[in-house]
Order: sequence, then structure tokens, then C-alpha cells
Amino acid sequence: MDLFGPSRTMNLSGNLNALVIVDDFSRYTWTLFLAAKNDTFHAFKRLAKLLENEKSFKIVFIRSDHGGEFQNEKFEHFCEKHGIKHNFSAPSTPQQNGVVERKNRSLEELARTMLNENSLPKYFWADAVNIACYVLNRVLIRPILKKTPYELFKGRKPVLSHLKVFGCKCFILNNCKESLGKFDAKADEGVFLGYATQSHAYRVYNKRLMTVEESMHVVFNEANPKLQDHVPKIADGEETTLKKKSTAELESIVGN
Amino acid sequence: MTGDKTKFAKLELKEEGFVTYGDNNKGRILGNGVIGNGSSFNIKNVLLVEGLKNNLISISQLCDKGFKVMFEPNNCLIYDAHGSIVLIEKRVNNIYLLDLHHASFNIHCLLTKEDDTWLWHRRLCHIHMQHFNRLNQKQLVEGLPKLKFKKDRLCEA
Repeated sequence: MDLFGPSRTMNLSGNLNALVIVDDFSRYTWTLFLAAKNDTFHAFKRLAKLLENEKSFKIVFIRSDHGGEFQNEKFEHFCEKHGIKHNFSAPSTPQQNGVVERKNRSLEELARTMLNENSLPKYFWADAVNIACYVLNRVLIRPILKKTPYELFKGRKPVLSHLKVFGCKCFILNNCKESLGKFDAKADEGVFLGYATQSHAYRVYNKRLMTVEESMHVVFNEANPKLQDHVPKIADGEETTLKKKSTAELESIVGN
Repeated sequence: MTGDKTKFAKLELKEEGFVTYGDNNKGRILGNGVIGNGSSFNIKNVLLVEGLKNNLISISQLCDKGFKVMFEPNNCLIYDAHGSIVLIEKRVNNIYLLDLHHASFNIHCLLTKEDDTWLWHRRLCHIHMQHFNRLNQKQLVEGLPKLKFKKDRLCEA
């Protein structure tokens, strides 16, 4: 369990920090986004309750660094009440918290790549981290066990057929959200941001309404923007406008 | 012939003599190179000439390479040996202008096509290409096509 941030830019819901929690056996990862570091306890409490309910077993121990967000009275009290052993890494030794520190790095690198690929604004960082976490849970292979974290945790194989390219252009059908005129556009342009957690839908950023919404009626254009840009760029370079005089003139010029 | 060094995709600097213009003035040849995007569309053997303001293309050399050139009142068409149009030029006043920026329509279709493997690479947050093969080999996921994933170029991101 570790926290990274504060990032320099807020995401759209005003969060600056990300709390990363990794299950040590399956390496299944949860990322929670927080506005301030002191929200850590509440976020952890909620997740702990959820997991205990879902898997019907108790959390035995947690490991974190000595950050003030983990080493405080509330945490101590909670751990005492639920019989959780709180294990700290040695002071200023992040190596002992290596599993989650490495996970932070993977998530940040993937997010950075995806944001830069489509030159998206930085306030989408949380969505990028979230989708990176979503994908890593489904595709990493745990050595020795030879299974993905998703399979180890949920007991079934992950399905990848619904995955889309992060940040790609998409068109969201405007189905009865607001009354449309006869010849109004039926779809809005948007940016794909991720997969909805609570329903079977995609999270998209609507460019016209400037909001993030969840919708199932989305058409994606996953073509690589870099490749498309590439073509005019080459053409710009060779914008030679090779001027051409009529043949007679040319023959006399070249005829040396 | 051109006077602008920056147009070249490949350039070999070599002084080779002079070009004589219509009014008996001479221009020094500074080099020889290729104009184009390197793969699908190239003009070879282009001379870099000192102080040349306009870029010129030689019809006689085009014909020597097997192209056919047809001049019409409004434009000029260049056909390749099989008879399909390669380039179209517009006539502006008394000069036929060849604009590669607008004429290169057939290059566009060649480049926008994207590999399935690279699409999946981007969908799965740019993970390693060999990782796909591992996933497929051990049948760890559902919905991933059985392709042979191979890193054949550098990812743009």
C-alpha cells in the first residue's frame, strides 16, 4: 500500500493523489484517487470492508511506509479493532515496500505514454492511471503460478475483447438525453477515457458538453493519430512545388 | 533541379560541373540526391544547383525512365509504364505547377493502414510485444486474436 502524488494537475473531479493498493499474492491492484492525503484512511476503510465482504475472508496484514497518512491514530485504532497487523518498511527505505513502489512506476509510465501518444491534457492523468491499472490486472503474468492477477483474484479468465485505445476519438449517441431537433447531429464527439466500474459501459469525455459520462452507445475511431499526422508532415517537407515550364523552355535549360 | 538543400531526403554533396541556362548564364552543381518520403514516393537524381530560385523537373528524364507525359490546356498528366496516372499538374498562367503536397493522394492510402498487432499493443497500454505471445501460449485471456505479435518497428508514442 502506498500513495503517490500530489500531482501538479488536478483531475476533473479535483483529485491530486493516488493511493495504490496491491494484493501481495495475486498482485491484483486497486488505485483510489484522493483530493488530500488525509482521506487515505476513509478510502482504505471502505475498500477493506468491500474486499472482506466480497472474498469472505479477513485482511491479515498490510504493509506501508512511515508516511503520515498511514502511521496515525485512526489507522492504529482500525487495525487494533479488526486484528490487522500493520507492517512498516524501515524508515527511509522504500526498497522494503518494493512491490507497490514498482507498481507505481509501471502505472505512471503507462499513463505517461498514453497521455503523450494522443497529446491529451494532463488533467486526464487519473483516467490514464486507472485504465493502466485495469489492463495490468488483466494481462500481467504472475511468475511460477503462470496466471494473471485477475484470474488469481476472481477465479476466472479475463476477457479482453472490449478493450479500446485510451484517448481515441469516439462518437457518443445522444439518445434522449436532451430533445433533439429534426436535423441536429445525432452524436457528440468525445474522448475515450476508460471502462465504467459500476455498469457495463464506457467512460467518455463529451467534448460538446465538457463532461465525463458513461455510455454504451459509442462508436470508436482507433486509428493512430501519429500515423495520420505523419502523412501531411512528409508532404510538407516535400512541398517543393516543382515548377514546370513548358517543354521547349526546359529543353533549352537542361540542354548543357 | 532545385536550389533548396532542405527539400532533400538524401543528399550527396559533390561538385560536378555547371548547368547552362537559356541566357547562357551558368549555375554551379553542388550535389545530387533524392526527394521524397524515402519509401513509397521518390524522385531520384535531383541536382542541387547554386542560386536556383525555382525548382525544375526534367521531362526528358521522366520519359527516359518510362513515364509518359501528356500536356493539356489546363493540366498535365504523368502516367507510368502501365498507363495509370501517377501525378497531375495544374497550369497557372503559362507555367505547369507540380504540387506534391496535393498530388500525393495515392500515398495516403498506403500509410493509414495499421497493423492489428499494433492496434492491440495500443489497446493494452503499450505492453511488450512478446507478452502477447506469452498470454496466447498459455491461454490466459479471452478475446485476444491469435496473431503472431512481433515488434517490427518503433512505437510512435
